[in-house]
Amino acid sequence: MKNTFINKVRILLICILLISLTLFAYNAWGMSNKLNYILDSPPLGEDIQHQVRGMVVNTNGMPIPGVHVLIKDTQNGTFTDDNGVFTITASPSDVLIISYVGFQTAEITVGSNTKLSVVLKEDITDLGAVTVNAGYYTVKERERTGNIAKVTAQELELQPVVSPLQALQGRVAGLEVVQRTGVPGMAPTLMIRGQNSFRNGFGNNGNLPLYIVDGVPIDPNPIITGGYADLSIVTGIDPLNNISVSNIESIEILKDADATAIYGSRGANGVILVTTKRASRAATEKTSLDVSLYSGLATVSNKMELLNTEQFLEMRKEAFANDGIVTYPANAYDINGTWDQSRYTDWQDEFFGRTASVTDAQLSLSGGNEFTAFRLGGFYHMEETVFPGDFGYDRFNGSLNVNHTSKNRKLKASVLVNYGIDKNKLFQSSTFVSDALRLSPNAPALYDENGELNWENSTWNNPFAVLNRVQEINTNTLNASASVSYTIFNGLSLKLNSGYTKTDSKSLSIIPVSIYDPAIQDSRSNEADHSETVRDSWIVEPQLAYVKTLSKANFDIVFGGTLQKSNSKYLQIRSRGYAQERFIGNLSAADQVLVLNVDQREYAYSAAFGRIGFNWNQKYYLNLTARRDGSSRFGPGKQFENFGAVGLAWIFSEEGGIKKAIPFLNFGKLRGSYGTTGNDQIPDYGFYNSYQTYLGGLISTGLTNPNYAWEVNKKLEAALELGFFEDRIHMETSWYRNRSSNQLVNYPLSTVTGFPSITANLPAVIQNTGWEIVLTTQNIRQPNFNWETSFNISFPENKLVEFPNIEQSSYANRYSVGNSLNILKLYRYTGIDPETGLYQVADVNGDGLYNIDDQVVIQDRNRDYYGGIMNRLRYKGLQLNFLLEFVKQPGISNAFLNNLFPPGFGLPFTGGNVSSNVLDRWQNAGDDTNFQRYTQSFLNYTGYANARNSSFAYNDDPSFIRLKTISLSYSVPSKFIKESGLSSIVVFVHGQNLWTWTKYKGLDPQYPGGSLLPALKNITCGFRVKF
Amino acid sequence: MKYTYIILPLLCIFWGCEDFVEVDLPSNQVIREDVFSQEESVKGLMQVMFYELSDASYFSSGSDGSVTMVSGLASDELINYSTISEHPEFFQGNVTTHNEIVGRLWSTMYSTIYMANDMMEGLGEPYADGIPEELKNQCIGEAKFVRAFAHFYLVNLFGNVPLVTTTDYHKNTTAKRSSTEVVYEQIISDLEDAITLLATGYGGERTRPNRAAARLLLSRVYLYLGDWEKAGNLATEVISEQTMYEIIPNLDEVFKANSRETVWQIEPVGRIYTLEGETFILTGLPTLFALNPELVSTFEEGDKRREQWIGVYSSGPNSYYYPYKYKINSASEFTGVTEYSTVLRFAEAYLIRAEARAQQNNLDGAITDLDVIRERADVPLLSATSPSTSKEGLIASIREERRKELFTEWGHRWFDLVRTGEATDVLVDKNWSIKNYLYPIPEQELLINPNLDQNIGYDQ
Repeated sequence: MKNTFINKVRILLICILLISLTLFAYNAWGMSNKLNYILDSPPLGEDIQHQVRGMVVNTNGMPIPGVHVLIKDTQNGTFTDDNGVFTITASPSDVLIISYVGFQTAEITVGSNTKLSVVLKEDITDLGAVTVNAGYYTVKERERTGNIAKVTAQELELQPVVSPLQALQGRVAGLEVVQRTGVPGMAPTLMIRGQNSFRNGFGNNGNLPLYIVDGVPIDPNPIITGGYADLSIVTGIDPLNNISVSNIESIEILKDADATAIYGSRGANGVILVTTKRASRAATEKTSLDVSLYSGLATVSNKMELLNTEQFLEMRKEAFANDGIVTYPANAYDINGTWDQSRYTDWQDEFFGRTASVTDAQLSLSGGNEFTAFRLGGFYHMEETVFPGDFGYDRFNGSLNVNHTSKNRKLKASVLVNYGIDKNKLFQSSTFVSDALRLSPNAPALYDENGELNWENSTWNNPFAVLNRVQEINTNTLNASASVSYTIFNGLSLKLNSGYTKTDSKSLSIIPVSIYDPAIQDSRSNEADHSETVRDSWIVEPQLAYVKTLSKANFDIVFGGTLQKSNSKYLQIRSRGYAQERFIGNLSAADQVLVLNVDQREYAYSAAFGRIGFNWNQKYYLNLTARRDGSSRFGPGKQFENFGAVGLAWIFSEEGGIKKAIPFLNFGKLRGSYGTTGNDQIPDYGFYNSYQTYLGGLISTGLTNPNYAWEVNKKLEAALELGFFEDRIHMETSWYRNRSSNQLVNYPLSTVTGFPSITANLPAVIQNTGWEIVLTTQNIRQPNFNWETSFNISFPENKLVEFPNIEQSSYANRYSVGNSLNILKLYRYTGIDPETGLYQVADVNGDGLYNIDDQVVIQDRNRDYYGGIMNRLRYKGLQLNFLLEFVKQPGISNAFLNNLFPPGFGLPFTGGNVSSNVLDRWQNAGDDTNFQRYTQSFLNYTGYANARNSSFAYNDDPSFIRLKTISLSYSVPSKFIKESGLSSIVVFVHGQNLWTWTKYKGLDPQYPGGSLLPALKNITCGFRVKF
Repeated sequence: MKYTYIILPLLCIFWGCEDFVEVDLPSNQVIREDVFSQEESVKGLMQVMFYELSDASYFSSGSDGSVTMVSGLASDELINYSTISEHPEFFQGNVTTHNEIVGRLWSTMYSTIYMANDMMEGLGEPYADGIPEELKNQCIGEAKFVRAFAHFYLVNLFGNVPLVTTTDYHKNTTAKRSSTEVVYEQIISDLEDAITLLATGYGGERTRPNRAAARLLLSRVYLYLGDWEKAGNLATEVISEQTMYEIIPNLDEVFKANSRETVWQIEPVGRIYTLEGETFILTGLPTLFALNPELVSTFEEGDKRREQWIGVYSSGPNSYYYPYKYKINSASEFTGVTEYSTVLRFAEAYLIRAEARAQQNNLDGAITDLDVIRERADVPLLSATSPSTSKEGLIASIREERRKELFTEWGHRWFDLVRTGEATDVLVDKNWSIKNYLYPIPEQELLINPNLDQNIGYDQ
């Protein structure tokens, strides 16, 4: 009661604040309008105004549209149209300031000219103009003290992917994105600068970055959709799906302490800021319509080489012969004569060999005037799957942005609304892809002559039956934010940001009796699983910003606060006993409805934050950031904590001495930062000793520890940025060391306690260090031909630095001090026994047993290095961009892929096909090979299982280079389209994952060892027209 | 300053926000104090403890990893057709320390014990003072029964095990193993307490243990310990309750919900059939288990148990037998729940007393008890065919009768083979060795708790 009362008072206060702000602003605005009126009236006795018409071109004579033309010391300005032409009324004494991003600003006195021709020179060091979003403030790229990487719309918009996160692969140093499955809409795993927390599980992951979309934090946890077993349960649904990639203006990745400490307890794993497109400045001049459409085809990027029927049957027969079995067992249908031994089916082709289509369309309309601008967008994306049947993903988004500025430019307001509806239609099976790999190549036909599922007299589980287990996931997402700012006096402004987000994801999974063999259908019932996840969150962030210049000292200060409340609800229902298949899912037709799970969580968060940016003569920079955070996830006395960071930068190329000594060095900056961030990514309510409702009664929620507190990540970074030859070579090298301590873990307990774990802080230190290099070169810079390459590479190293008493802890066998967190302890492989032909591993301590004490080979499973090479080539209107992603990662065996059982096993219902490299198996005493003899006996299973867990099973290299994206576009010269009223036409072809170089023999080297659907390769083509 | 009125509220909102970040528990949660201070919530907590025996508790659920199934595989009752790697290990007598089923048997028995201890501790707190004495007695009695029940299976499957009588995880996570004697002492004391605390009747369905259930379980405990007198006396007390229990003539009715043969059953949760039914009944080729044809062949001609408790699935020339004590295997039609999973039934009391009497040389008494069971099965009575059999012969007949009467129920066969040492001969082709008497302590537990040691013959 007390709590809600205080909340109400607080909301009331915020409302009052808002109202007073508005009133104050209205007042001030009203006054200044009068002022403007006085100023705008024609000055008497001054020179007479006249109309000036001008054209702005680049050094090649090409007109530049959208150039800002402003009369100096006034608010009067305009933009050039698509032909680079502007018209403005000015007096002869006026000076026009002509500016455009990427070009040097020009100043021209009007004089008596009525026609002007302006040539803008490209600004070679355009660093000065590019700004990056640091969340609560923006900084110029040139001046930033922290590590912030920016990915722009240009790199993202053509990619035919559902999730914006997926589009980041290979583009950012220090960002590891792994797309584990090619099924559209599924969440990739994503890590910024390595694993900081032991908690790495699905649903309790302490390594997720903070996602912020237009200022509103989005829960980074993948959405779980329930159901018995489904494709989405492997990875979960990506919470950012409902943001169209083509509606993103930029994505900023905040990495070091300087950039992330202002996010305090949520910044430990880095921050991903997504900014959607807004009404552009040029829109204020002309209402424009932008339409684009692309469409294409997708197939799986890779298939495995498996045994064909002849080889498979040989393997099976040899296995029985090797084990001394003459009569094939009754359930060995593949070779005992039950199944046709002359059949051959390429199951991979049947299961996921289809060509899927992709279609994407977008339309945006923008316009306005000098004071108010809007942008309205509509987006559609559709993807089929490569699976058989009518499955796929489609999505519709709408977005609206309105910006308004008062006449005196003191009050600014903007609203951004994004709404997305998506539908993902799948079927429930987490093993569909691995089934295709294992199924005997001579297994029966999937369908009989009537087109019904073929059950071959109950001798197999028809693997296509699961296609009838349809799951439909419908997600609606609203993301809205509003911002009002008012300049109180020169330099001081007050700002209020607020936002609301809501995601509602419903899933219906049906289990009709038709998925069962007709022989047992009578004993089954039509069932359905229903689940719904609703997440909503509001945030209010008032801020006060102050900018001041005192001689050579420049200050940029922000103070503010945050109040945030998030709710999440999860409901899971199972229904049974539908009389007919077509009723399934309609609860009123069910015999029985069971509520399996109702979960409800609330999270409250409050903070105060501040940033003081200071520089001396734009040469020496100091950036101080701090945040005091409170989170409801911690118990009384543990809720609040302070975080902060210091960032320093020195642009040494501005020093006279260096300028003289190294003339070809046009830019040089040394920067560093140190600070703390926290991690509160733990489940809610964990500290309460409570019980929850369950089956009409109550059950304990688990063991409780009211004393746990934040994980703290101390980040240190040093970096050097250099630009040579007018920035034709630009290089940024960073080194970082992040140490995460006070580890919050589900500390495993002996199950004798009744539970497997308890949440507690562990005095362990995890360290992530690494080097990141980003190199951008302008290889060719000619008027008609441009070639730019940007290269990024990251060398991460993860290490468990400290773990007191690890030997006595439950982590003793999973981790080892001095090694990475992602290790495997393996048996030492000793080869194939020349006599028995079976695998052998070393019994290191000679006790006759194989257990953890013999697992002495430690293998680090983290990537050695990774990165990307992006090339942009432009010849006149023709542009070619391509990105190569490369990953060097530790070994995994080609031989053991997907084979839980030794080659030779043919399990009834699931089959036993294997990778074709086993053909080189041991056959006779003395054979020197990597593959043990075929066997089908359980007696040989344990030895094989040991070998699967040995150094041998992890020795082939799954590193890869992949042509991640390639696009070719052609922009029709404006002279051809001038007449039609169009301002531009671009046609393009885009390819994704077209080519992969790897020695890996499995499905997809980006997720080695997995047997989920590999990433799709696709080719799309389309056009974009602007009116 | 003219802007003070803007800045001040800002500061007071964001610096004094201590209680903004205190959230109330969600509507589906309640704190411990409130649970144990109200009758309804205590009842709800108790109810869920029994639901969990059917739902989350692997060992008692009747699933393919329950005591019934794995001890059926390990003994000579079931033939394995399962390809889940754990099942062949039980079947072949080479259970490994990382066998996940063993791990789950262990952990779910202890989570059951946690719930029992939590109930007892909660009712002992001052905030539970208002709970009526009658309800307290019932809850504590049931909690003690359940704690003894779980410890009984732990001690029989694993030998020396940690004896857990508190919810304090600091103690429990590093608990040492107690000797079987100490564990049995606690089991006996818990069951004796339960006998005094529990009522004689059932407050409704037979899904909650009553005094007779505690007596029957204690009687079994004494039988296993070889205390024939106490085992016999307790069995007699159960048998004397003829108004409540009977040996039901129709074998098809024995496993029905609340049948008069039931002493204690577990109600299936979230299902309208038992997991035993689902696991055993074959509607196609076996994918898990089938009944050992050798067991089927031991039934005498005309034994009704052979006819009514054993089913057969035929595929071409092959026949697969399965236990058909439970008749319903899925929700083919919604008929309501008609069968419960039976843990303790009246027939066992006769078999225990027969064995106790025979061991105490009361051979006639033993024959009388045994014939109660044989009569229902419609096989010739011993009093007619061999009234003057020797003590050894009679004991052998009782064992044989237990095998036929109690097959695939709660590991009776396995525990009989183990406690009598017959396993050495009967299971000789399963690589029988000393280690097979007990399961290994799960590997994971050894890793977490350095105070635990492994059973003889397993990887340390």
